[in-house]
Amino acid sequence: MRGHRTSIRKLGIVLPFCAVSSSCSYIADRGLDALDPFRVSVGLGTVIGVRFRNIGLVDSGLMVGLKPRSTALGWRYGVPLFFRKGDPLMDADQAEIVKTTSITGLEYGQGSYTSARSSMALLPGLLTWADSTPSKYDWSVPEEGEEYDERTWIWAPSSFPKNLYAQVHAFDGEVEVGLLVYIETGTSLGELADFVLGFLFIDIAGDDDRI
Amino acid sequence: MRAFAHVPCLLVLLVGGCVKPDRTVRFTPAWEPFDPGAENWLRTRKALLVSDTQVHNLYSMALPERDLTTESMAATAIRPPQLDLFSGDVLEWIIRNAEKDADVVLHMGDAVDLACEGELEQFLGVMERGRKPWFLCPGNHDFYYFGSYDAQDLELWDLACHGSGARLPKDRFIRLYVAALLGEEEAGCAALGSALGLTDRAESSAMALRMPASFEWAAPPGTAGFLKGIAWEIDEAHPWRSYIIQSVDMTLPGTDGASVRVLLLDSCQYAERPELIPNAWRSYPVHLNCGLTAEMLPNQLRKVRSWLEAGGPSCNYTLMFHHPFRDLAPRARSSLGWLWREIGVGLVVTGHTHAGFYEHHDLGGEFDELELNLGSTTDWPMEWRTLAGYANVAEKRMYIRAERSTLVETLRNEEGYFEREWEIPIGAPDDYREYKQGEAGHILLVDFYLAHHLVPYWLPQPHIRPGDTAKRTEEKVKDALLLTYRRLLENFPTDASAAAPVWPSGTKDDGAVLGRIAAALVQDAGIEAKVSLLAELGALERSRHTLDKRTGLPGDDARLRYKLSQAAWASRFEAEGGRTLRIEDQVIRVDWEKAERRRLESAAH
Repeated sequence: MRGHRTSIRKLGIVLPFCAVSSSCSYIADRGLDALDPFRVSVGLGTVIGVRFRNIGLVDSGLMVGLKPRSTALGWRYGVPLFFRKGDPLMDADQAEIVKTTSITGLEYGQGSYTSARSSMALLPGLLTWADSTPSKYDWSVPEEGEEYDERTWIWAPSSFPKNLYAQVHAFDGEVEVGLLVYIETGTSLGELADFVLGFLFIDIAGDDDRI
Repeated sequence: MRAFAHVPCLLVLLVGGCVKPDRTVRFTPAWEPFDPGAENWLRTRKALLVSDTQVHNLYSMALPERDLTTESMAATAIRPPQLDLFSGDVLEWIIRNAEKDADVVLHMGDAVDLACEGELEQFLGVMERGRKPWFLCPGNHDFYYFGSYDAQDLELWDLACHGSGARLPKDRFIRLYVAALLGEEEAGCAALGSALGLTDRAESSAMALRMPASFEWAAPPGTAGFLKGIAWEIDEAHPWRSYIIQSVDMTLPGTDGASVRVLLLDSCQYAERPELIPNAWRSYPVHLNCGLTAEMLPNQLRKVRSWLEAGGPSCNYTLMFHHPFRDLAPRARSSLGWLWREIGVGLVVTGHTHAGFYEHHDLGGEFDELELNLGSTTDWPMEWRTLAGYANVAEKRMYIRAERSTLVETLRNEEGYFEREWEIPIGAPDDYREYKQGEAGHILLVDFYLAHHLVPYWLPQPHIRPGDTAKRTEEKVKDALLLTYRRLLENFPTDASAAAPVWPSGTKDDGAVLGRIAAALVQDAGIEAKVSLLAELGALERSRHTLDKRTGLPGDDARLRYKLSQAAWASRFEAEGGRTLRIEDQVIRVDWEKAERRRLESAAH
């Protein structure tokens, strides 16, 4: 017990020191990390049903219908949720029973093309695939064979640098209820861990220095 | 003094990356005096760039996509009949008259519209009459049903190609295109024919059958002509995975400048069968709509890279392909962007949009990269460009001149076009937009929505057929085509003293032909009878020589001027906004009768 108290006391000295010695971005990062673990959004769609999803292993309930992306509004793990083509996280959501599609605008080159490969329907998030569409202008052509796969299993070593978001969010728990209007809410254990570990300068979500 | 304490902080912020200066742009517009004819200027060959000619099968049956609902979303679903009828004449006139001094024609794709062999034949006829070396990078309309997808519903594709030969899938297109290239002696394709072992002058379709499925050829050093390399791979089981690329030499013979090459790529190569609307239920593999998303597969990209690297630093490259760069699927865009930046490709030229623009791309390199997108010769603004590079080693200056022309601006400077009495009056049954007066078939959207979003991909897709509204619209189009032929015969009667043309059955003079047209229009003849008469009228039009009704003199020049004028009017009125005035409309016609009536009414009051 005594040892535990000592550790906390040490931490109490180390943390303020760290916070002061680094730039003000440390405080900003902790503030932003505090907003990351939560999700709540409202949207319109031809949907009906209830769905639960928890830590990527339980995915139960049934939502039937279509949820056009353009109608969703809210807060999604640190990012305001509204339809915009350039949203890099829009297509990184995990497996969904009902696919969200972007009929409005028909922007297949930007939206549906990548969202279509974001997951395998009905598979829990822990076993799903993550989009590995290159976002930078790099030579990304396989040297041998004709395989042109744009997805990787999210826990594959090759996908680690690219799919941090999908990995951190593999432990999300979400509830969704809908009857024409659907409401989603959820919390992310991965982001919560990132918030706590952030005080020790450990950035598991790779989202520090956002400002 | 304390008041200025924040200045160093601001400086640090500015320099430290909070404010980034603008990137240097490699290509900048030039307004300084430049005379390419002056001494010491090296010039490349001059290329005529055209795109999206969309030669359309006039004899097609009604199609679900040629419906006023689709037309309201994509204005090119149905074009005014005059435009479909005369778009080939426009292209031929551009090549033979407007840009006589161009050395080579480079087509950015979408030569045809519905992907039928008859359309391709018609296009090849135009290019042959143009009598210039020409090359084409394939576009989505050249071999995918209506430019959108590889229809598994072959009955639908057959309806589109009715009266115009067989369907034209991609493997067949590549073979026919290469066979057509072999006929171009000036283009330097004779050596290619020798390499293929196809030196006899057989029919294109017969030659196409003997074409190998996979082939790569590089012109031996010293070979004259434009074609320096060609490679294709044909996958007959999955035609959409086939591709063709070409290397065209633009270096002017006799100049000792560095070589200038154009690589024509294929942006319509897909891993999976293209679909009209990609199914929302499908996770992997992904099917794309080829009108919306472009794709290049690894085998093509690897070949392009090897060609670019083989050229070395002394070779200047321009890439050309059909879709704009931004429409490329992510992986192909990433890889091609890398090539563009790392190999130092000078310029990328694309088509597909029918609009035309310049676009800068920040690909992460030292400079921005520049894309020139080309508008259509058929759809407004009916544009084309000539492209030539100029270099002065002594002055260390280099220019690329991409001069833009439009049909209307070019014709306005010449006499004998746009005669008032030639313009179709508003409200006439063959008014340029008369077909738009029909009803919209809203049910079509629901069909597509259900078929592609609510039906899981593993269930068979329902077959979609043209509804009554689409059928009525198509009949209106056919009626307008018949009326257009009638106007041609009335304004430009057949010259009886010239060689006898191919008369439609049961006719031997213009009067009898006009009688058949009138009968087809008055009676409820049905679309089949109208289509069959249209085919006969097409043959007559191609074979006859005419008189100018106004002067009574023989000659076909006035008739060509009439056709070009009709195409321009139709294109203008088809463009978004229809008869609404635009910023560039400089001369505005005033309705004299209305103005006079208003004057009289106000005087009476």
